[in-house]
Amino acid sequence: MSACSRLWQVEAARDGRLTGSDRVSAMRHRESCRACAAEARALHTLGKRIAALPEPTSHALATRRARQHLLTTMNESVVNPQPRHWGRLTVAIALSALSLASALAIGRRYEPVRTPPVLTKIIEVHAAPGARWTEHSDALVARVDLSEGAASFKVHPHAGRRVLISVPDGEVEDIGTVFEIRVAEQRTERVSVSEGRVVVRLRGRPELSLGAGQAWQMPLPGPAASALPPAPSVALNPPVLARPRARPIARTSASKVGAPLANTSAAKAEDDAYLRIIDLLHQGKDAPARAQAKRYLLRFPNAFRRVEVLGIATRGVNDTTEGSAEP
Amino acid sequence: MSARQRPTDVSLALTDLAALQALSQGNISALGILYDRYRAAVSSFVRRATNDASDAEDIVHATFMTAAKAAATFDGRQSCRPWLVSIAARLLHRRQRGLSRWARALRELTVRERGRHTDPHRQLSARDEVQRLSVALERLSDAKRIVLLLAESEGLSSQEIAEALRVPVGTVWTRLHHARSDLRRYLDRKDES
Repeated sequence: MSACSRLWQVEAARDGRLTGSDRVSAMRHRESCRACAAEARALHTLGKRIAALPEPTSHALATRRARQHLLTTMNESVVNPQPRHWGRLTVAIALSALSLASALAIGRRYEPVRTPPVLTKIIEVHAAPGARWTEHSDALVARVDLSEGAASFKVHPHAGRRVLISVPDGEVEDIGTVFEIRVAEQRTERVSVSEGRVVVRLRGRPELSLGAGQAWQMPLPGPAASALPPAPSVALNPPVLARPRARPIARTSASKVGAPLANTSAAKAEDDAYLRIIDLLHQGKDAPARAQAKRYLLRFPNAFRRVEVLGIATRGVNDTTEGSAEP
Repeated sequence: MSARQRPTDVSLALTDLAALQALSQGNISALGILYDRYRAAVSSFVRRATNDASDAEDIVHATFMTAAKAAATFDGRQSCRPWLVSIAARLLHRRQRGLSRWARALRELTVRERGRHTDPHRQLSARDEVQRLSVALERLSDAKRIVLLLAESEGLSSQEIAEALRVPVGTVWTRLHHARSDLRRYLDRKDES
């Protein structure tokens, strides 16, 4: 059988090197050329033989051991994540040289460049006065421990890191962006979600997923609870507010809370209250503005501008990420 | 009994995409599910693709660890087998390009030469077709063997192989052509002998 000058096209067509009309032409030629047809069969047979090679066998026990080793390693990488190693020697040398060059360029008044934090801050915490909380973050989990009081959380867009809010009796996992939690006497009283979605896991209760506009509220025993409607496990917006527990912020505004709650969702009243706060701020009356902001938060717990107002209410109280001011 | 079967049912019902999404959110059990599904396939590919059997389990382990860390980048196709095999191929390719390749090449050469001259049983069994093909594959360079296995055994397109190994598609075509030529030449020579 004489070799065909178009023999190479058989393999080229098989590997996708030939496309369009060239491929069609090659396929048509193959039907009439014995050499090309034989080449196609040979390549096909070779491929089938390779694909049909028996799979190497593994011992079941070794497989189980390897599986266990894999899961253990993965678990360790989650629990104790290793810092990312830039650590190739060349990179280190290049960075050192760059730093040295910068230092020389600036001269003796060289100041070390502030390296940006390795972990970007993804949780913005707005704690009410009296709230106690701490923040811990690593490469995989951003966590805030809220031990007492109320705080709202705004979670910035992030990838790959879980966002957990630990409360004394469980945890709330954020899958969204803006939500608020209130804790009192080592118990979570209320979780409300403004945007996105969170998962609430509390001891002795089934896991609960809350979407935007939904709230969960712990049914309160005693007289305080009797004022509430039967607490559903999930309440649609606007959620019914429980009377705040004995805390300064609640005491100062207890009379306001007694006002008809139906009015609290009125957009106009909300806007007016907000404008009053802004007006006070513009006049330089910070203390009255803060007091007004606290009243606003009590009246409109799920208000559209709640985060900004919380910032005003807590201004000067908690500007750090660690600990918090006592009332 | 039904309670004992439940986890298996759940793992069977979980799609690859769902498992990888769960994994990207920190659910390590999803990694176990994917390992149970694809360990054999990945291990088979790796053990064929590398001459160094002692490294195979390490590569399989590294493949699943890499997949776990890159779970969020999975493109959502029905099966993640080609994706996992691509990761394994990339790890093999990277290892091959590492500084240790010289030592490994020397070791492989030693093993091959020793096998060729001192192991008559292997020579005899090489008459068997499967064995002959396996030996022929072993004689290919790592680069050619990996490309050939990805194409013929795993059914990846040249473009997919190029993306997996991060090499130009022209390189894939060249390696495929030379791998087939070498393989056929070796098998033909054996047939004649």
